[in-house]
Amino acid sequence: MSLGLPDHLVKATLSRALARASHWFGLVCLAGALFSVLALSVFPVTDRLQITVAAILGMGALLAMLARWRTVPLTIAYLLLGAVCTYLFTSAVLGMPGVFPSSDMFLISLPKMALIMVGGAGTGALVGVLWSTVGFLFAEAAATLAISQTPVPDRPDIFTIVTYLFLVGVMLLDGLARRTGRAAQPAIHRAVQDDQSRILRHDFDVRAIALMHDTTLNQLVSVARAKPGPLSRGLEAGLRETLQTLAERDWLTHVDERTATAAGNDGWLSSAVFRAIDRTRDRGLVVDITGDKEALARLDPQSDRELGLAVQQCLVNVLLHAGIVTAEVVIDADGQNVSVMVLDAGRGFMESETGSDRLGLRQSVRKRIERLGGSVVIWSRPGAGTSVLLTLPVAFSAALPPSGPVAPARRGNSSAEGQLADVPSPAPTDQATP
Amino acid sequence: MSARRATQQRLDPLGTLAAWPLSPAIASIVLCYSVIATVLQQDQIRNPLMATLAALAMAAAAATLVVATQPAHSPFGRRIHLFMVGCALLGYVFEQLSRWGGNLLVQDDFGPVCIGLLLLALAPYRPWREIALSGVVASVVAILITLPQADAFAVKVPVAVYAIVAATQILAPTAAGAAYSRRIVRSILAWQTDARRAIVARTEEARGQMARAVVEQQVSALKSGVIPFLAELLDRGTLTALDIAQAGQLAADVRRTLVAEIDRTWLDSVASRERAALAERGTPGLLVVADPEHRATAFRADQRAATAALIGALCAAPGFDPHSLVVQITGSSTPTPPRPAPATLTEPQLTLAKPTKRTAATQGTAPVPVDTITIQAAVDLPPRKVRALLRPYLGVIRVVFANVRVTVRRPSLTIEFDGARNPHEVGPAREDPATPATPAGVRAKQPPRQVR
Repeated sequence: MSLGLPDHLVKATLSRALARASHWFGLVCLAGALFSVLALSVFPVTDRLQITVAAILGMGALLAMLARWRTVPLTIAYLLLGAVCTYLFTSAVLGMPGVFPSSDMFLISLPKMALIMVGGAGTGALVGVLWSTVGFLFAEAAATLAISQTPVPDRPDIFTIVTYLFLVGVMLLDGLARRTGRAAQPAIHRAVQDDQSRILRHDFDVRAIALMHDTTLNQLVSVARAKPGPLSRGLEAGLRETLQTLAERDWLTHVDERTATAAGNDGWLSSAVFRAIDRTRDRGLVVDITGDKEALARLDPQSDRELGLAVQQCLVNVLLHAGIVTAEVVIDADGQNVSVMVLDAGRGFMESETGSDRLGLRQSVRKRIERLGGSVVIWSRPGAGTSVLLTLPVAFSAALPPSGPVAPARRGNSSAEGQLADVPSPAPTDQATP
Repeated sequence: MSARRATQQRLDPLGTLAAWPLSPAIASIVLCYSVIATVLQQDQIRNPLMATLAALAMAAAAATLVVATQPAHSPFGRRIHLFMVGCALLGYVFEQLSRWGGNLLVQDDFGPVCIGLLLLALAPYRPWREIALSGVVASVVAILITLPQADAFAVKVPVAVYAIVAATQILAPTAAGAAYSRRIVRSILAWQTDARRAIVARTEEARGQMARAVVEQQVSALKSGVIPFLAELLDRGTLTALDIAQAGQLAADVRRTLVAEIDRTWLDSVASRERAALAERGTPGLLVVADPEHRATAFRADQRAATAALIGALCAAPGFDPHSLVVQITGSSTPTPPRPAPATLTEPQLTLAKPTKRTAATQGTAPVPVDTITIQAAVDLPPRKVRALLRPYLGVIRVVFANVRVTVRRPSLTIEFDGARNPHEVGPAREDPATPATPAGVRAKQPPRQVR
C-alpha cells in the first residue's frame, strides 16, 4: 500500500526508530564487552574483573530500560553509570600487566560506543546529536582518566570517534533530508481516498443501471413489440408500475438501502466544519467525529464559516504541536447554542506559556469565535492532551444586521470562502451579545 | 505483501527516497576503508593476489549496494541482497586468506566492519529478519575463520576475545539496522491501519450524498425523453405505429447509454475528473484513455491510487500540454476475466496485516498475464525538472508495479510500467450487491468503442 507516513509523523517516527537502532547497537557492544571480560577472567585473573562484570550488567539493564522508556532521568542515569562502567572496564582490561601494547584496542571502545548510542529522550535530530555528544564526552573523559592510571600509552581511539561521527551524520541526514517528496504525500493520500469513493460510486452506478434495465428498458422494449391499437391490460399495468417506480424515492432504496433509511446527512457534509476536517485529514490526521452532526446545519453561513476556520486551526495545531496522529471532534447542541469540541491526547501546553508569536489559538480561534458572540474554553496540561470547546449561538445572525460581506444566502455559498484559511476576517462587530 | 516481508521501501517509498544518500556514503566508506587497510597493512599480507581479490569483492558489494538502492531500481529484492552479502563475505574470506599466518590483530581487518556497515545500509530496504539472519551467518563465518589463526595474533589473550571482536564488529551495526527496519515498519503499519480505517469512515460519510447524486443523474437523463413518452402513452391509452417506432428508438438510446456507463472503469473516472480540473484552471484539455479490453478493472487498490496520483501530478505540472495526455493499457495473453462484482464498503479492506501466501501457489504455473500501462504526455520542462517533479510519484509506482521505464525527450514524456496479474487472485473479499450488478441484456456482445 502506498500510504507513506504523513509529514507530521515523520520526525517522531524516525527519531524513535533511530533511538531503537542505537540501543541495539549499544546492547551488542555491551554483550561483546561482557563476554570479553569473562573470557579474560579465565586467563590471568585480576580482582577488578568481577566489579567490571557487575558494572556492564547494570549498564545493559539501564540501556534496556531506556529502550523501553525514553525519559530524561533514565538517560542521565545511563550516561553517569556508563561513564563509571567505562572507567572500570578500561582500567581493569588495560591494567592487566603486559597484555595490551597500547590503548587503541577495539575492546576498549566497546563500552564507549555503547555510551554514545544513548538515543536519549526527546524527538528531533538535534536533541539526539546533543545526547550522543554528551555520551561521547563522558566516554572519552572516563577512558582517558582510566588510561592515565595504567602504564599503557594513550592513543586516539579511532573506532569511537568514527562511530560518533557516523551516528551524528545519520541523525542529521534523517532529520534534515526528508523534504523532497513533501508535496506528493498528501496527493497520494488523497488519491487513495478518491479511489475508495470511486469504487463506491461505481457500485451505485451499477445498481442504478440494473434498475434502469429492469424497469425502463424492459418497458420500452415491450412497447416496441406491441401491436398498434388500444393498450393491452398488461401493458397498461406495466407502464403504470414503471412510472411509479421512476417517480418515487424508491430509487434511493434500490441504489442504497442504508442511505434511504438514514437520509439527511447533507447539512453536515456541506458545513464548513466538515470541509475543515476533510482538509486536515488529507494531511494525514485521523479525525473521529461523534455527536449531533446535523446541528451544524442550524448555523447561519457566517457563523458556519468562522466556526469551520476555527476548527481547522485547532486541528492544524494538533498536527503541528501535539505529536499525535488522532484527534476527536464532538459536536453538541441545545436550544440556543451549537458547540464543537476538539480533543487530542497529545503533548498539551500551558496557554499562559505560549509565546507571543503563537497567533493561531489567540487570533484564529479565540477572537474569531468571540466576535460572533461565542465562547472558547481551553483545557490543557503538558502531557495530558488538549481540549478546545467552541460554542456559538444559533440565532446570532437574526439578532444582528448583516455585518460582513457574506450575504445571508444559501449555506452552499460559503464553500468557496471556506477554502481560504487566511481569508481576512470581516469587519469586527461590536456589541456581540446574543 | 505480508507484514513479515514488509520493508520501509515498500511501505513508505517517499521516506526511503529521502534516506537514499546514506547508501552511497556507506559504500564509499566501505571502499575507502578496504583499500586503505590493505595498503597500510602490507606487512601483514602474505598473499597479494588474495588481498587484491578481497578489495575487489568488497568493491563489488559496495557497488551493488549503490546500484540496487537507486530509486530507479527499487524495490531492493532478495536476490540482490544475497548477492551483496555474498560478495562481502567472499571479500572477508579472501582478506583472511591473504593474511593467513601473518594477521597481527583482528580489529584492523576491514572485513567485519565492512560487512556490518553494508548490512546496516540495508535497513530501509530489507525486512529485519533477513538483515539479522545475514548478520548472524556472517558472524559465524567470522568466528570460524578467526579461531584457527590463534597462533599468529600479536596480543596474547584468549582467542575467544579475537572472535568476540570480529563478531561484534559485524553484529552491532547489523542489530542496529534490523532494529531500525523493524521499528519503522511497525510504525508505518500502525499508521496505515489508522489511516485506512479513517478512509473507510470518510467514504461512509459521503455515502448518502453519492447515492443521491447517482439517482439524480439517472432520473434527469430519463426526464427529458422516456418519462414524458411513457406518461403520454398511458394518458392516451392507445398505441400508434409511430409510438412503437419511437419506443424502439428510445430503447436503443437507453441501452447505448447504459452500456457506455457500465464499460466505464476507474481510469475513465480519473480522466474525467482531471478534465474537469483542467477546465476549472482555464485550460480545457483532451485526455485520452485507450483501454479496449477493460484491463483497468483488474488493478489493485494501491495500483489504482498510484496511477491516479501520477496522472494528477502530470496534469498539474507546469508546462503540461492539456491536449497531450494519452493513457493506454495493453497486455499479453488472456483477455480480461469477467468484470468483477463491484466492491461495497461494508467490508473494510484491512487485509495488509494478514500474511498471505499467494506467491508460492502461482510460481511454476501458467504464465502470469501482464498489463502494460503507457502514459504519454507533453511537458515543456527541462528533462531534469520533469524527473524531479515526478520522482516521488514514480517512487510509489515502482513499488506497486514492475518494469517502470521513463523516457523524457523534451517536450515528450513516456512512462511505461507493467502490472503482473495474478490469475488466482480474486482480489479482496467482495460482497455481492443487493441488486444484480450487470444484467445479462445490458452488455453489448462487443465493446462498442475502443478509444474515448
